[in-house]
Amino acid sequence: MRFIAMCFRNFKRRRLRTILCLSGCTLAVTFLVGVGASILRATTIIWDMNMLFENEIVVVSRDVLVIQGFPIGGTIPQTIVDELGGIEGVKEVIPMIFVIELRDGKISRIFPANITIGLPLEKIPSTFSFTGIGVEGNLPRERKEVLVGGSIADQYGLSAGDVISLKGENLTISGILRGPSMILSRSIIMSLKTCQEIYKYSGQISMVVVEPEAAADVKKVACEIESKINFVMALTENERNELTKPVLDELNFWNNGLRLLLLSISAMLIAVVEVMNVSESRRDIATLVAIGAPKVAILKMVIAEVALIGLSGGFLGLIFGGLAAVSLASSYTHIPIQMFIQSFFQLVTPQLTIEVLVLTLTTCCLSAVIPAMFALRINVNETLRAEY
Amino acid sequence: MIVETRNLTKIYHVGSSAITAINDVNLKIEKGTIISIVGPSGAGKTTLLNLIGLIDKPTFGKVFLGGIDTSLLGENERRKIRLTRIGFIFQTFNLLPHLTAIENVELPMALAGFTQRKQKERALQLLSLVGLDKRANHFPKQLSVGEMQRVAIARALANNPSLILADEPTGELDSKTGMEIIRLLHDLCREENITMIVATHDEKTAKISDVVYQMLDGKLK
Repeated sequence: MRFIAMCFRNFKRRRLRTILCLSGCTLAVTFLVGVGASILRATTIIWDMNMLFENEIVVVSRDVLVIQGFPIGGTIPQTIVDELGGIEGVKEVIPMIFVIELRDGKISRIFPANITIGLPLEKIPSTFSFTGIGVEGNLPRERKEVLVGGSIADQYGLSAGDVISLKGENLTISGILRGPSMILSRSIIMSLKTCQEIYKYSGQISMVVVEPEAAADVKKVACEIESKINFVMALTENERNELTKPVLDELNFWNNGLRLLLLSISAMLIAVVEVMNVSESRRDIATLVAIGAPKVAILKMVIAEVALIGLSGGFLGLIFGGLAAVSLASSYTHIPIQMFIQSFFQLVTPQLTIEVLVLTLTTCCLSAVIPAMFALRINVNETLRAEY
Repeated sequence: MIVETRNLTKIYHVGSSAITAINDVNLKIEKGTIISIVGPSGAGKTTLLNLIGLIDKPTFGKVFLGGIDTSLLGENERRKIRLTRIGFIFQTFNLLPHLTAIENVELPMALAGFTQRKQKERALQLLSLVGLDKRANHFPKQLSVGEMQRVAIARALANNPSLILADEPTGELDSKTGMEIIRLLHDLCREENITMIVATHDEKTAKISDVVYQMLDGKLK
């Protein structure tokens, strides 16, 4: 039987109802994808933050909020570096400054959303030498040289050798950092001293990254640091993950709750519309049964209608949801929307796409149960006898 | 004997009262015979056709089709008999509104598992037989009532049934179109040696039948 053709003709006959139902589904999926993609982006960034400091200890001021490897607020005196070097089990210490700028125009005229990372020049090669990272040009070798993240470079058309002005200071771009990290793609990396000068962090740093000796017990070293140095937290990778876990769990909980709610509303909407459709098609269904159509054919008719609405809503929702996620990301980072459109599939990942389509299809199948049962319970005799 | 009913009785329960729609009907119909069942509305004609057509089940009694006791059959076997051996023609045509004339005729063949090519060939042949080959791609709402009933006749003949059950086939038609339809049905059944049972309250329709039964209050005379 030509179920799909029949479905489309049925939709055409009931176009207003179909459009309203489809709009409802599209809206639900748009919301679901928009929020889902934004949450996914946030969690990816959070996990990204650990990339630089795997298996290392991060030492920060005790009143600082730490999201994975990134401290927000608070500084510690740079003299702490010497104290840390003397602690047993410590192999290397790297002092760092993180300047996180979330709003447009506050710090730099040209970098609306960026992270400035300052660290000793000699430590840059070892810090940024992990897999997947590439540099177009060179790493900074002098005080006035900076490494710029790929996203910033693409946004402003920068390349190695260009000079940029940061808070009135002219800096030469030694290279462009390319890689999968969203954080690093929006970073400006420079020498610690330059960063301290530009941002007025004289004698202060945000944190120290401590690399323990290979044989040392990381946890023990962290405890030793906290006991010997006043007013600092020494966080191992596990501890940092534990600090972040509740935030991520909370995000996932609300994301899943929202999904459940939206899909339930969609399912009810589809079920109501399909029950109305079946109710109006009682005579057609009764005729089909009378001339010998099997129950499976009736079920297929109902399911095909519901699946078509759901899948169309799913596809449209994916497109609109993706655009919503792009707009959201652009609006809260002030990064131009084109930058996100170029990396559309990083926001709306294949995994999210499949997840949404599977969820939508499952919802449709569930919402088809009631109309299908209703269709199968139609009393053929009474329906054929009734006057219309 | 293609159709036989023994002590066929159908009782409907409405609230606390029981209504006997069919009361102890015994009928024997030979192959190729055209039967008319004449009676006023509510006499039980449609119920009798529904019982013979295996759409409904009797309260008592039995229906034999081609010698098979249908009371022993499961729902799926009854459905297959409806699909392959019985053609239904309804008073209000009951064409599916979202299918074209040819698609409506193809429908029983599609359900019976014919190939698409065969469905199309036979549907066109049947539409040509009822004089509607040029209206094959029209939707029911684009056809006149007479044309709709012709499409319904073509659909009833689609799977080469041995029995056609026509419930008030001229009920929605004017007398001229009604007579044309009845003659068409008569000729087709004669040509193909198909047994036909027509329920009608129209005496003219009954006149062209081989046997005419009167039905009143569920009883056949």
